[in-house]
Formats: sequence, C-alpha cells, structure tokens
Amino acid sequence: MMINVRLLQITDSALPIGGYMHSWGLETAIARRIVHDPETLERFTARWLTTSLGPMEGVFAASSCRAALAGSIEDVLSINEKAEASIVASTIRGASREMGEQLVALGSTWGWSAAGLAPYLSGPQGEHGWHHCVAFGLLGALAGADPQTVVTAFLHQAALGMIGAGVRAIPVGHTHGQQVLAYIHDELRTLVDGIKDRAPESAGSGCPFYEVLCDEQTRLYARMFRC
Amino acid sequence: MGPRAVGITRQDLVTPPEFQSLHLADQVAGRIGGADIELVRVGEETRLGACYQQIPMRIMPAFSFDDEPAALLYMITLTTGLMDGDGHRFQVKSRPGTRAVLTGQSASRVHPAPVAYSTQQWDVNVEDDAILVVLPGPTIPYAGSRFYQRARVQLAPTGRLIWGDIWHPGRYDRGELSERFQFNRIVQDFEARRGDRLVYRDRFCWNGPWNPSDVDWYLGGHLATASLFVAGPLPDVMPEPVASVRRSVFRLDTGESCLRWCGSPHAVTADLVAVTMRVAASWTGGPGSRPWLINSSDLAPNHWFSIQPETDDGGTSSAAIASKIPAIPLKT
Repeated sequence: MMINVRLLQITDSALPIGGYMHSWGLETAIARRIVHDPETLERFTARWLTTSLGPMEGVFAASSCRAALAGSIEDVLSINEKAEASIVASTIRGASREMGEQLVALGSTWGWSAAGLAPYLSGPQGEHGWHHCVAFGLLGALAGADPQTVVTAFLHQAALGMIGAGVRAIPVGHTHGQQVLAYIHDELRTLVDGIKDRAPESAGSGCPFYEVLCDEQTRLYARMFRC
Repeated sequence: MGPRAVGITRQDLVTPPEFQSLHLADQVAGRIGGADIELVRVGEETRLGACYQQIPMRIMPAFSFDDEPAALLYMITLTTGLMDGDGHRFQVKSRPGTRAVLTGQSASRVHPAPVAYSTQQWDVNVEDDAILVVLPGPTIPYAGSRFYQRARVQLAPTGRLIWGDIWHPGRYDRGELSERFQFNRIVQDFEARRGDRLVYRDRFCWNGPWNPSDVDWYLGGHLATASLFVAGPLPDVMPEPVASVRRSVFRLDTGESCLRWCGSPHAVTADLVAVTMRVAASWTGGPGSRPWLINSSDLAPNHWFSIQPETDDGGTSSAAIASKIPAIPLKT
C-alpha cells in the first residue's frame, strides 16, 4: 500500500498552525476537576470526539472532501457557511477559522495543492474565513484521499491535539498520552463509519455543557490556552 | 397570506434522515395538524390576521394588555401532547411593526413512540420592524419517545426574533415512577437566515436513554437544558442567574446571539423567560425597561413561564424580575 504523503503532510504534528494554543474546553474541565489523570483525559477526549467534534466538524470535513472531489465549489462554500453558523462558542469558532485560514494559506504555497485551491480562493468565502474542518476536507480531496480516510485523519489529528493539551496541562506523561490515543482508536473507527457518508445538513453536536465549559474557559483566573 | 386551500397533511412535514424508515400517522384527524398564523399591526396593537387552524391545534385571539407593547398569542393543543405518529406544522408571518409573544399553554409532552415518531415543524417569517418572541414551552420527552423538531426562520434586515427551547429530562418528579432521560431519540434542526445569509444553526441528535455518565457529559449532571436564539442586539447588562444555573452567552459574528443553560428545570425555565422578556423590552423601551408581559396579573401564576424558582438562599428568585412589577389589567 502506498502511503499518501500529501495527507501525511496536512496531518503533521506541527499542524494545524496555532493548534497548540487551544485546548478545546479541556482547560476548564481540568480546572473543574472533571479531567485530572490519563483515565479521565481518555473519557473526555472520547466523548468530545464522538458527540461533539465528530458529528459536527467531522461531518463537515467528510462532506467538504466529497464536494471537492465532485468539483462543487458552491457546495464547499455552503458547508463552510454551515460551519460558521453552527459553532456557537466564539473561542472555538475563532480558533477554527484561524487554523483553517492558516491551512489554506499553507496549501496555496504547495505545488500539489496550489492550483486546485485557486478556484476556491477567488470566491466570496473570505466573508467568513475558512473553517479548519472544511479546509482539511478540501485539501484532503486535493491530496487524492477519499472522505473516509480524510475524516479519519482529521479526527485523529484533533484527538492528538486534545491529548497534547492534556499532557501539558494536567499534566500526564507522553507515554500515557500515546496510550490514551491508542485506546480511542476503536471508538474513532466506529465513529468514522457512522459519519463518513452523512450529509452536511445533518451535522451538529448538541452538547450544551461542553459549550458552557468552552465559555467559562475565557473567564478562568489563569490559563494556558486561548480556548 | 390567504386561507389554505387544503389542509395540512403529512406530506407537508419533513422526515429527518434519523427517522427515514419511520412514518407519521396515516389517519390525519387529530394527528396531523397545525396552524398558519399572520400577525398584523392595527393602530398600536398586534392582532391576528389571516389564520388557518387544524385540529389538534387551536390559536387563541391575541391578548393585548394595557401598557404592554406586545400581544400574547397562545397555541393550544387539544390533545394530551404529541402521541406516536403525530405531526404539527406551524407557519408564522410577523408583518411589519408587530410585537408579539407566541407560546404554548403548557409544556409539550412527547409520548412514547413504539412504532414511529412525533414532530413539530415551524416556518417563521419576521418582516422588517417586527419583533417576535417564540417560546413553545418546555419539551418533556417520555420514556421511549422519538421526537423531531424542525424550524426554519427567515429574518428581514430589521426583523427581530427571540426563540427559546427548553428540554426537560422527562417526567422527572414522580418518585419511584420518575423517568429521567429515558427517551429513545430527539432530533433538533433549527436554522435562521437573515436575507440570504445563514446566521445560526442548532442541529443535534440525542440518542437515549442516557446513563449518569451521559447526563454528566451533556448537561453537567443537571436535569434540564435550554437554548435561546436572539436575533437582535443583547443589552450590555444581563440579570445574574441564580448560582444553581449555568448560563453562557455566545455572541455570534453576525450580530445575533445564542444562550445556553444547564440547571434544574424550574430554574432554567425561569431564567430563560426572564432573559427573554428583558431583552425584548430593551428593544421596545430601551435598556433597563420593564420586561414584557411576565407580571401581567391576568396570567395565571401556575403558567409554565410564571413558575418562580427558589434562590440560593431560599428566597424569591431574582430571576423572576416580574415579581416587583405592579399588576396590569387585561384590556377589554
């Protein structure tokens, strides 16, 4: 099996640019003692993936990949608009846009993706900015990957980001961090099977307490992360 | 809006992908119903314009109160709630200059669905200079219920809307018979557009029943949650919620806002209503104005949105702002 090095590039641990500044609500969960060790970090990360990130941004990533493979710029832009209207926590929405814009800017400099991205960058999407999940799905399609592979890579990278934040903030050791990542692989595969073919109209999460945690993170007395 | 030529049928209702293999009731009478409502401005008042009603839904004439800027419009369900296979559809047009609160007479009981599902679906159009508050009332999903709520909102450039959803855990306060989070599936599908722009989406699928760990994750261990979409400016200062309620305010980049609550059913309900009526009042009377409607003396004190929670010190809730407001007689 040939490894898709283009997909490997967009899932590199250095990406998304600025991702290391975000904990996606984990910091508040740590402050509230909901997360305090590797076991609780694993539960929090798995819950977040399966009920929040997967059903919303994961569906957007897979469907934007599918739309890009079909050559539908209009559909990709529509998915980006849905992402903008769906992510209510302003810190998460801002982080998603910043990371998406950075990824698109980077992709527009790469030989394998620049020409493919060009038609998407000449339209009206600048009004909102690119959300990371949509940009990832688009670049994944340009990398020649299918929606299932792209959403798997997207969620795996996101899980790694969450666990990396936990390693620094709880703290737990890197060995424990890698074990946590390995433990959630089965749940990740099941999740991908359930969302890879879903229409973008069905994307959404419905985790009010998680959103409250994200909001409260902005009011923590001392914090390491921007969201 | 003219009168409907044909009644509301199940073909008028959308089936979500989560319930694709299920079907609403074949028998229309009393099962598939709803209303088309037009709100018009007549002088200083908001009144019901063209209206179509189909059993089991009934619309009361709009109540106008002295010294109140908004009319109150009740939607009455003639049955005991949403039974398996029931479908209700509402079309609401708020014409320019109208001010109204549209609400149910009680909580919506969603009964068990052994065969199909039940649904409420809304199309809401808010025209320029109209202010519409929609509070359907708390949803109480019974054990084994399947429920789909869909709303599509179209806002004119200066139209304003407040929409509140309150989700209770079921029949939660019946001792050993209590049902908490024993529903089968709840699908929420809300979208609002201003002009051509999608400004807000709230879409989720909750699969039940929930165990305590699920409740901790979704609601922070609380019994209820609520969501408020505010299409219009929020006041700079909001009333503080009681400590037992977690409330977050999310300002969207479009100028709209979304608020989320987790807490006890009574406290969440009271705080959502207090915020709603205060925000609406700020739009008609400026910052700090007396909240709309909630202390009108002609509203029964046992109305679902007049229930007052205890404060943290056991006293009367500060969230129930209305308690200090003089009684207002019903206009005859």
